[in-house]
Amino acid sequence: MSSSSPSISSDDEPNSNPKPIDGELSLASVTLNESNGNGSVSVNKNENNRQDGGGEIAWGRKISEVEVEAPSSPSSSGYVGERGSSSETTNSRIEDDEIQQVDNDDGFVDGVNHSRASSWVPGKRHVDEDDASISWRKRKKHFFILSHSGKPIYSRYGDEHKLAGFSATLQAIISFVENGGDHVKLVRAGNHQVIFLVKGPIYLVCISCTEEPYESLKGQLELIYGQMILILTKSVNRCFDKNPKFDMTPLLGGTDVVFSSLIHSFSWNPATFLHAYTCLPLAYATRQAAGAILQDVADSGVLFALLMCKNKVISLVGAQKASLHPDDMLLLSNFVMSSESFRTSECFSPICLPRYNPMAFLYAYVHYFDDDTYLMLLTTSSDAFYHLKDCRIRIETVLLKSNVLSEVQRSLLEGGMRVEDLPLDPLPRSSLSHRMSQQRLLTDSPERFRESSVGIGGPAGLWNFIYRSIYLDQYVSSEFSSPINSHQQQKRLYRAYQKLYSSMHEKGIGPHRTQFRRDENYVLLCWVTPDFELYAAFDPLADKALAIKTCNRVCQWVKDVENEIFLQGASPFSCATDKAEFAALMLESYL
Amino acid sequence: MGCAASIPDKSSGRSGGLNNLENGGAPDAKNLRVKLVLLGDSGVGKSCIVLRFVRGQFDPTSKVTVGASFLSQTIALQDSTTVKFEIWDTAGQERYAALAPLYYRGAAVAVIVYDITSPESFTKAQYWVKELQKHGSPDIVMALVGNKADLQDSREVPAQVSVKSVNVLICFMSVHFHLFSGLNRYICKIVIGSSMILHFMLYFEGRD
Repeated sequence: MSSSSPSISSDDEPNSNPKPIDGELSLASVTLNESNGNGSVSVNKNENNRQDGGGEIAWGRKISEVEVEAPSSPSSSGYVGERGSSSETTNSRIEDDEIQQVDNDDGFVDGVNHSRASSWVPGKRHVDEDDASISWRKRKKHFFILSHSGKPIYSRYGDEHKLAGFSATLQAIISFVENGGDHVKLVRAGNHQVIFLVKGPIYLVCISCTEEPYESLKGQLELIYGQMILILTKSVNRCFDKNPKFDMTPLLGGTDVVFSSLIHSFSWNPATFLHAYTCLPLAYATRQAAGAILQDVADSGVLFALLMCKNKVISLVGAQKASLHPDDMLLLSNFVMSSESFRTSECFSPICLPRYNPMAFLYAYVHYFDDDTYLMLLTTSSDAFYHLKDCRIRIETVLLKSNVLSEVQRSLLEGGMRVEDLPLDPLPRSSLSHRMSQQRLLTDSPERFRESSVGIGGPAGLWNFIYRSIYLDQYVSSEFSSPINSHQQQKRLYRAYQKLYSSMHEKGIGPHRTQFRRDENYVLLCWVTPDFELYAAFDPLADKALAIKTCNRVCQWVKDVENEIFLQGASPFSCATDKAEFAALMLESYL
Repeated sequence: MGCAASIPDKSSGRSGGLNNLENGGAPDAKNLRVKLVLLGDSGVGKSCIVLRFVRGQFDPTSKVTVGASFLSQTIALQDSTTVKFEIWDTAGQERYAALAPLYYRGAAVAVIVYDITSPESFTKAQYWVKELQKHGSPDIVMALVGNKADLQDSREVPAQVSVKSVNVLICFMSVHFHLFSGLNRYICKIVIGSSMILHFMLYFEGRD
């Protein structure tokens, strides 16, 4: 099936593309024809015809047709050329299975019912298993960390020590290929992918049958490695220089929860593949008030000051020239949120920001103001605890005085953008703030705004969207609404977004401009410009022209409320970092 | 852990950790500040002991401490002197061992905790005693606490060994007490304060 005639011509200069948020958008002028009832995909790339057969992806809309008609599994990801022998039919059948498998993923694993997004408990499960257990083999997604001598360091499932033989096998595969002067990246075996990532003496492996693209899974391994660096710094490598058979497991003692919670976030947190962070929606003045006091503190020798609510940023400030990478923020907040002890009392702990400086520890002062809101003050000085404690007291006083903490709680209750609230006619300065002020009057009935469209899924069948601002390194995603209700459905949607993301960011093909993809679950629309990326999911029966129109409205809406959903004027995330002042506390010194 | 039931409520009068003002200035004779550090292997129950002492809470779920937690507790002595304990509850994991000096530097009292069901944790406790003797402040008062006394049936560290060690430490402490009582009222108070802590802690072992 060929792409329907693209109407954004591929020679469109990126710059000629109007700015997303400045009124009429190029997408609006697109006229697209659906070629047939089986759904169609049109991909506009800067270079066309890279895909064999011309068809990007087409899944039959009727499941019964999938095996016959669907030509391939998602071939848009980077591993096309490396794929093994599986035939197309096999792949499509896998795709069909996958839908059921995904439904069961982790549901099976945890033996908990599916609507458990909030009931998920971090920590290691199934420690009694090893590679001989059938249940272990059936797990959909394994993650392993091992040393270059084949010693297990971490396994998502099962006891590491019992998996020594298995680890040794993985190590043998890697070193066999390396001895041939090559590197193994991916092995396909039936519907399983085995992804390898070598980081000096540390090997990371993912074994998955979730059909996620290679680039996504590799990105997840990179994050797991980053999480390990955050706990230990890269100077752990020196232990292996001294003793190749060094056993690293004791060094990571007690961190199972950190890794399991990170792995869990791969299925619910878009920050894990977008490499951007998200903010808690707040009135501009409220965020400014929080930012001002953090800035005040940052000027007194604090390297980074972050005020966060769950995984969302309220405000953050960096010392001059210091910039914080979104991945570091993700790993840091995961570390803090998954370690229960931070909630008990104020803590002072060494942490390393892998993107900032993977070799050295910083010191983090962490304090929870309430169950969800916490402050992190990072410094290079190991003696700064009492200073940071004083800073926190100052910050807390200001936050209480200016009602920031209560506003945060309110925002948390209200949630973020909802597709149901998408304004019909783009009115400047309306929408979210409008809703917020309305809600201020009707604080006790947040449900009120949802009831009108329950079961319909918002205007023109829009179910969900993610908007990522490239300049700000931030994204905003709409709240999940019906019919994407259960955790499983949410996870499936995020996996679809992930596929979309990696197909749009394929190396060597350059950034695609737009992609419209229809399958039996959704219509997915992706639009990439130099300023932003928009990912939107619609009802599978949604009309293409309407969907495009809706996307334009979403962009306008985001523009209208950007002061509330984004942190503006944060210190730019430049690459110039001042690493001179690092406390060079090397791990080696205590080994 | 053993502090589950029927602990005498010596630790009432929680000093609201949040807004407890840092006096910061010179030590004043009526309001003393004492730095106390807890050391010991991971999982022996340091945090449980501290939370019991500071907040009167007992949480059976284990929460792994990261880095070190800071808590404070003020105790009033008979003569209306107050002693504010600034407590560093350190993480027991190996990766944090290098940071220990950060927390025990300048500490007046060190409470070293082991798990009576784990000989390894007792070895680790001995390591900490030596470490403090070498690098701690010379006046430091050490208390050795055998935790999880309720798991008597799975006791692995013989009671004699631990009692002996505790005796050694009590002697050690008495020495300090006599040494300083006539000389320095400040230090003397610290020792009195820490002996209260010690008694409190020993209660767990004493329930055998």
